[in-house]
Amino acid sequence: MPDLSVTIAGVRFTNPVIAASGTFGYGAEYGRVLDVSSLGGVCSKGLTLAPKPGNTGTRLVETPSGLINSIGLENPGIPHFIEHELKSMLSLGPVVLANLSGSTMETYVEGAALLDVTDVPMIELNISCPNVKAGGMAWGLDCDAAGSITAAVRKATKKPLVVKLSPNAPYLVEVAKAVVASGADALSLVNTFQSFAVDIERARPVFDNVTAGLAGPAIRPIALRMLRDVVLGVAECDVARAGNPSLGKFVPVIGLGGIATWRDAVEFIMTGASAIQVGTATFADPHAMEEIVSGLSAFMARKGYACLADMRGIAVRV
Amino acid sequence: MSETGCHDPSPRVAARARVVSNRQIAPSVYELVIGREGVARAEGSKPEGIPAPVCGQFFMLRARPSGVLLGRPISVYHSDDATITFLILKKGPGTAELCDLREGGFLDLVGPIGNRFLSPDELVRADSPLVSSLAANRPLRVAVIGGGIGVAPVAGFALGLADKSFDFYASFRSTPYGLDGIESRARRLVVTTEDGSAGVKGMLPAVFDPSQYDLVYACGPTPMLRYIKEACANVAGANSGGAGAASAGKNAVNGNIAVENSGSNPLAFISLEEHMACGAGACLGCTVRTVNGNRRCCVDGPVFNAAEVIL
Repeated sequence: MPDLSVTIAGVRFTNPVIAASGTFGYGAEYGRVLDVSSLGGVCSKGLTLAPKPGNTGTRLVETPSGLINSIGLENPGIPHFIEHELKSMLSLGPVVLANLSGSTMETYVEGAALLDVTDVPMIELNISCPNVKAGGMAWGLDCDAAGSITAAVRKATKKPLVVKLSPNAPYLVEVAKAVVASGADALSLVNTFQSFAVDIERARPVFDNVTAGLAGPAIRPIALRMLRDVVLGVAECDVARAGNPSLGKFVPVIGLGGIATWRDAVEFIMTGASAIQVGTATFADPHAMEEIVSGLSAFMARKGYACLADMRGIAVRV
Repeated sequence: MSETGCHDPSPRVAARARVVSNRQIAPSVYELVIGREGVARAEGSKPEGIPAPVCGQFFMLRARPSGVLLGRPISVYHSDDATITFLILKKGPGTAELCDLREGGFLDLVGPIGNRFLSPDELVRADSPLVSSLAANRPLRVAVIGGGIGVAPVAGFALGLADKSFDFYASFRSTPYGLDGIESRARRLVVTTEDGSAGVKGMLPAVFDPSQYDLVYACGPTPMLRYIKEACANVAGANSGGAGAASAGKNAVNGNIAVENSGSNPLAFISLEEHMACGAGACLGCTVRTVNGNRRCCVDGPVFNAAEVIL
């Protein structure tokens, strides 16, 4: 049996398959249709310091092989999450990543400080939500903003910190480097692509918030290319070299964007992902993640890969 | 929303099923029957049986093979030990694929999902504060209303009610459907069609008088549900001083119908439809706004107390 475990920033995952933020609630919602304990990790819904009701109007539009969402970070707030959802989430088995979102730097920092004193093993800093008017993705679009928010959150918590990047950043690799230089232990990418839809009967935008985030298989090849860019870019960045001049400091990257099958997962791992996240595919088939875990194992056995590191990044080293 | 219906305790599966039959029953409307025994998802794996749904619940259905990404939420019309029957309106590519399924074909499903309609007897037995203000000394007067494809969940529900204990209203654009067995069970069956091809020419307001009822169960297009909500909240004389719309509206907004209602406004339970992705309560795509905050249509509904919903 191949070893599917992976350790990211000191946190051990039994396998590299993680439920993506916003697609798996707080872990318990899907408990009746799939074995949640078989997953490597579960990300919480995006959490903000104060509760958010989310966006009004239409929130979902299906597109060819894709899904546009405009949820708008509906969540009960971090104090409520810590009091009510976190304990049951931690009892599920997989590694829990608290997805920390926010508007101002103060709200991110205060949220991080609250999470810091909980048992949550890992924080995923979300600087890439395209569906809120204030903050969100704005923090992830340029190097200065991304670096400053990462540094501030890094100061507020000692928890292993993954920073989730936006594909909408014009210079994604530079943002990734800035985030790593500011103290991120790992990266996850990509969040959704900003998109737009028109209600042709009413001759106006479908979404009250006008633009919204596209996910699903439609974005997968682009997400994979961005993963490649970031894996190569971060490996050669100054900070990485400073970590270990001979080998470079290894910055784990969690890949996501339209992954639906074990074949997709293999592509991402061979492109350098230490782990992968699955979101929209779970909506289409709640068993998708379980089948990715078993399919990965069977593929590695067939190919003679004893562990994930044997195939990680082998398609970008050529 | 515990006052509205029970959170279903039944198991839910993500499974595969076989098509027993599929036939067109009206223009663009199909009656799809699937087997509850389930079909193996992969070679060598065991088939998973489909749990029995209750009236008001739905499934996410997706044809196999499919060119769409997500299942479509489809209400249960009937079910028995061996099969589940759905009525499907061909609306877009996802429902078109379901309508094109043939006997022996396959589909993927998630369900059963959601709460259900609570019958008048159950509401009384549960001593719900919602019905305590209604007339206690006579049988509750019940109207069941279906609009278009929304007839499916309420028809199945009505057939489980006591004989002649309800009036049934069914409104269609044109050809009626989904009414098998209703006429003999209902106290009265009233059909409307917009084109006058059957029953009364017109829409629901032409035939429905909410002051004649204590309890209303409905499913249909949002404008119809909005009308039912408002009509039921504004029954003339139901509020002291005859303040009518403003007063009744205020009571509804305060969510205090059980306390402040003088007893004449019928209670309305409506089954809502929203775009859905997960059908598990995880994605928050199908949010319904209520006076008590956001609720998820899929797992907190689809049946809601109309007075609590902001439509």
